[in-house]
Amino acid sequence: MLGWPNFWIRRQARTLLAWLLLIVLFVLSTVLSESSRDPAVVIVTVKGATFIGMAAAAEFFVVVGGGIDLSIGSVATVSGMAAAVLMNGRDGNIPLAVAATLGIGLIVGAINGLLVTWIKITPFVATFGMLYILQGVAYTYSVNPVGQAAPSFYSLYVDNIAGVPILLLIVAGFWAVCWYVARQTVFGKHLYAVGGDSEASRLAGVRTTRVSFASYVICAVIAAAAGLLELTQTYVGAADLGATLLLTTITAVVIGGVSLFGGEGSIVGVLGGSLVLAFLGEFFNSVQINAFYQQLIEGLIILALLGIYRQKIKR
Amino acid sequence: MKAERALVSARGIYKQYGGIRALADVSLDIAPAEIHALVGENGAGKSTLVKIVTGAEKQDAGQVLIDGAEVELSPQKARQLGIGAVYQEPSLVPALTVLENVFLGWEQRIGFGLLDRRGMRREAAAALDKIGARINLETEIASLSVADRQLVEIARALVLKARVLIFDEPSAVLSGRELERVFRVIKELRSHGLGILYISHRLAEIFELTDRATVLKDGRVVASRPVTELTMGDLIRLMVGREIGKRPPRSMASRGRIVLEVKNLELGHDREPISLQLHAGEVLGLAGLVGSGRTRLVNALGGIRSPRGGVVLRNGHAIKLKNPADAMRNGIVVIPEDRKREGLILGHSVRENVALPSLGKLSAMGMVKSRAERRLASEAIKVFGVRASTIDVSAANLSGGNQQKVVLGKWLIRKPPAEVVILDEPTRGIDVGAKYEIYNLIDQLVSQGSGVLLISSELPEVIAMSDRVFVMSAGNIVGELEQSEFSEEQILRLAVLGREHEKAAAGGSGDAA
Repeated sequence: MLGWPNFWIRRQARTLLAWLLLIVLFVLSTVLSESSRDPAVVIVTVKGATFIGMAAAAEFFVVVGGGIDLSIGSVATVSGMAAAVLMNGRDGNIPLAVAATLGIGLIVGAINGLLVTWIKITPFVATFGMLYILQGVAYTYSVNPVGQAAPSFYSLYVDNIAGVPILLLIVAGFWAVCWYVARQTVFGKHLYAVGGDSEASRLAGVRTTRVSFASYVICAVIAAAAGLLELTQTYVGAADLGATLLLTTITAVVIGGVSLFGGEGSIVGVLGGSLVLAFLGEFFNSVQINAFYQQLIEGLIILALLGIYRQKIKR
Repeated sequence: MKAERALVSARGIYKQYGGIRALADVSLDIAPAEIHALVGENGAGKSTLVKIVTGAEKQDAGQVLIDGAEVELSPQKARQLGIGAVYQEPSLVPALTVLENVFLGWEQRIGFGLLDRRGMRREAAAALDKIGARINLETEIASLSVADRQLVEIARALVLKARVLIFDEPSAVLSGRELERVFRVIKELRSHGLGILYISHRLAEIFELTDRATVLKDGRVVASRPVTELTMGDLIRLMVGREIGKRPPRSMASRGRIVLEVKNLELGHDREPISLQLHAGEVLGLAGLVGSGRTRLVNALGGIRSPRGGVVLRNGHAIKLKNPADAMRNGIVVIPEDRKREGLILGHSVRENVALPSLGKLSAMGMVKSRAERRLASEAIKVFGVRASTIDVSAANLSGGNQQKVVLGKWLIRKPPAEVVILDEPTRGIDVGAKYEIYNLIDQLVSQGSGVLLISSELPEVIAMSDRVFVMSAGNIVGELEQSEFSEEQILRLAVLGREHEKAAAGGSGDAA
C-alpha cells in the first residue's frame, strides 16, 4: 500500500521535477557566480519572467484543453503596440489602453475559438493563420517602435509596496487566480476532462464546444495582458515584441510538465517552467557564456524531461 | 502425466505492478495438439500471464521454458521461438492488403532489396488454405470483417512458423457464424499439432472448444483440469469462489406511468420510423444482431447524434435532444458501449471520472467543493463495489469490470436519480462476478422507479433482465414481446429473419410460436 505522501509525489511528479530543476539551477548559479547571490538580481530575474510566464499560463489553458494556440506571440505584440499608442505617455489614458488590450484579447480569442470549434479548423492551422494575420497587422502599422507607456504605468516595474515590487504582487495574484480557475472551478475540471477525452466528456454532459471556445478566449486575453505588462519594461510598442514568444512559452509549458496531448499538467509546473527559463538566461548571462548555448541547453532539458516522462509511462 | 513435453511452460511466475500483485506462483503448460483454456475474472491475471509468455512483460520471478529449455523472452524472441498471438482487435494495418500484412516486418527478398512477391503469395496462400479461409490476398484489411481479420492474423502467425498460438478473447467481438468459423480453424490447428491457449469470458465456449482449463483467481492458479472433469458450475465456483444460482425473477412491480415515449423517430432514409414507450419501473430489452440499428436509436435518445425527424416525449412533454447535456437535463442517462473511449477519461483518476457529470451539484458559483467531490467518489466506490486502492488511482489501471462499475457509478450516483437509463451492452467483456453485480444494480434502478432500456447481444441476459423485449433487425423494430412470450429461440428468429419471418407467419397457419 502507498501512503498518501508517496501517492501525492507520484501524481505531482512532473511539477516537482520542474521545481527541482529550478532549485538545482539556482544553487548552481549562486555557486558559480557571485552576482547571482545578490537579492536584487534575483528580483530582477523574477520580474523578467513576467512576460514569458504569463504567456505560458495563457498557452497552458489551451493545451490542457487539448488544443494549441500559435498566435499568442502576435496577440501580445498587437496589444502591446495598441496600448503604447493609446497611452502615448499620458497617465489619463491608462484605463483606455487597458480596455483596448482586453478588447483585442477577447476578439482574437473569440475568432480563434470560433475557427476551431465552429468551423472546425485544426487548432494548429487556425491559430497559425491568426499568427500571420496579426504579425502582418503589426508590421503594416509600423516597422519602428511606436507610442510610449505612461509614467505611472511603467513605474509598476520599479515601485514597491512594503518592500515588495508592485509588478510581482500583480503577477502573484495572477498566478493564484490561474491556479484557482484550473483546479477549483467547474470550468477548470471540464477543461481537463475535454483535454483528456473530448468524446467521453461530451457524453458526460460537458459542453465541450463552449469549454474549448472559452479556453481560446482566456488564452488570448492573458496573452494580450502579457503584452500590456511587457510595456513596463520596454516603454514602447514594437512589432517584434512577441517574435520569439511562441517557442519560449511552449518550452516553458513542456518543462512545466504539461502534456501537449491535453488533459494533464499543472499551473504550478508552468510557473516553475517559466522561472527555469528566466534563471537559465540569468545564469548564462552571469557566467558570461554565449547566449546561443542557452538554446542548446533548453533543447537538452526538454528532451531529457520528455525522456524521463516516457520512462514513467512505460512502467 | 503428459507423454509429450510441453511446448511452452510457465513455472512459478510472480509479477507485481506497483504495490499490486498480479501473479503469484503461476505455472501453466501448453502441450502440443492441445487447446488450453485460461479463464478467470477480469483482474485475475490472465492478460499479465499472456504478456509474460509473449515477451511483452518480464516476470519478477519464475521461469518460462520453451521445449523444456529456459528462455529470456522479448517480443521478437518469442516470435522467433514460434509463439504467436491473436488479439480481439487484430493488430493489422488497415490500409495494406492481406498479403502485405501477413508479411509485414518479415518481407521475403530476392536480392537488391526487391521483394519476392511470388514466394510470399505462395506461402500466404498456403497458410490461408491450411485454415480454410477464402480471402483474396489483394484485399485491403479495411474492407474485411473482424472475423476475417482474425483469420489473417492466424495466417500471419502460421507463416511465422508459430507452434503455439494464444487467442485473447477473440469471441468478444464475433457473432455466431463468424465464431463457428474461427472455432473450426482453431480445431484444425490443433490437428496440425499446434498448442493453443484460449482466453474467453464465455464459459460455454470452454466446453465446446477446449481440452483443458486453467482457472486463475486473484493471480493464483486455483485449478487446472481436463474440461471433461469440470462442469459449468465448477468453473464459475472456481472463478468467483462461490456458485451463482439461477437469478430469481424480478418481482414484477406494477408497470408505472410512461416516462419516455418515442414517436416516429426517423433514424435513416432506409428505415421505418420507430415508436416505443418506456414505463417507470420496467426494463425494456432491445435485442438484435450487431448492425441492426440499436446503436442509432441509443444515439438519438442520448442526444449523441440527432435523428432526422420524430418526437421524444418525457412525461408527456416533447423535449429537444441536441446534445448529451440536453439528455442529462431531461433525466436521460446513456451508458455507452465503449467504456474506454466514451465512458471514461482513462488518464484521469476515479475521483475525477465519477465527479464529472455531477460537478454542477458539487459546486457553488462555479467553484467546486473538493471535499464534496471526494466524498461522492468514495461513496460511489463503496456503493458500486469498485475494487480500487484509492479514489485517486487512474481509471486506466482498473480491470474492465471495475472500469464499468465506475462508468455506472458516475451516472447512477447522481441525485436525483435519472428516470430513464439507457444501458448499451453493459456487461460486454466483463467477468461473471461483476456481471451479477451489474444485474443487481439494474434491479435497484428499477425498484427506485427508473425506466431502463437495456441493449444487449447476450440473449440470456436480455431474457433474464427484461420485462418486455423489442427485437430490431435491419434498422426496424420487427417484434415486441411480453415477458410471457419470449424465449431465446423466438428472439433470435425475429432478429435473424426479421420481416420475412413475420410474413411467413402471417402467410402460414395461425399457430403461435
